[in-house]
Amino acid sequence: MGTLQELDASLVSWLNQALGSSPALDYLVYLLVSDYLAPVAMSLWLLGLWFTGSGPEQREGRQRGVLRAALALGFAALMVVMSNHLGFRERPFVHLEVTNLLYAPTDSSFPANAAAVSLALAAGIWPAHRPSGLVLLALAVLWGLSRVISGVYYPSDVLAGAGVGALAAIAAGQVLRWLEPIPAWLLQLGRFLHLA
Amino acid sequence: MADQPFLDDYTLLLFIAGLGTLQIAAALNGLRGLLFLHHRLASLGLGTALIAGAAAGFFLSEPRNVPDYTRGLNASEQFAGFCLGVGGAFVLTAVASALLHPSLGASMASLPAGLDGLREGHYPRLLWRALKPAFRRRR
Repeated sequence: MGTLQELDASLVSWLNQALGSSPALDYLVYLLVSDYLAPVAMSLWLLGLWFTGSGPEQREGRQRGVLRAALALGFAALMVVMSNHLGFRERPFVHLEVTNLLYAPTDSSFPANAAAVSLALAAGIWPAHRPSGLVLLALAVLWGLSRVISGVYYPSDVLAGAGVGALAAIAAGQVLRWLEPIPAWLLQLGRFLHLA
Repeated sequence: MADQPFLDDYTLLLFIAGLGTLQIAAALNGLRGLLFLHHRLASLGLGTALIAGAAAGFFLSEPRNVPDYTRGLNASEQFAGFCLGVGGAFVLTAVASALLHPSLGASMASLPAGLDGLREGHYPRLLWRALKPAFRRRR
């Protein structure tokens, strides 16, 4: 356990050294680490995906994927809140001398909330549209990595968060199957109103 | 005022970037009923410019990496901002494209179901034709 903690800390310190050497890199990390850039980009990507597809069948598959991703996001957030009641891990910037480009969050570092919700979106859309899954996965990796570089999360927090996100996506898929035919009715209503 | 959350800025970001996203998605999928411009490439350019402009306006106007106990937004506020911004973007897109292309779909006796209807007609016309039978039954 101590070795993992040391490895975590040394990885954060090593990655954080990259900050301060180039204003362009600092600004890029400043944008990526934000609470807004990656989530907004992911949400808008899914919004756009809702309207794509060469025909009704392909479009319905993608729209079901968007529904699964949205539900997975909710599940991941809930799972992180629940796990935060089980234990608390302090953030890297509390113990390490690092340059933090975000701010100083006060909630538990483990599991990483950002990794959980972004992986939930990526894993949620993956079965329906792999290219979108890849784009969202890339955004999730960049978001998680920027937070490790900034000393906001340890790498193990991000890995655990990714696991939570993947589990949330699996759970969302299962729940949507249990809820049938409600998702089908929702999409039918959407089609009637020319929204799906 | 200094400690008020920047929910309005965030909603504006989603509204303008949502307009851009809808223009790009509509242009790529031939949904003419959602387009502001006739030309596909021009619509893609407009959409990209709207997204880039919204992002630049949001991130360059003031520091955004601040906690939610000052001006930052918590998850619920972000969700509300997303729904308001994107919902508003869809409504404006539907209304503006109908005003810009008022005759789109007027000559067609029937329009395709679902989003495919937006290839041939604008949204207010599609919605009216979908709901008209229900209104008639009530009368």
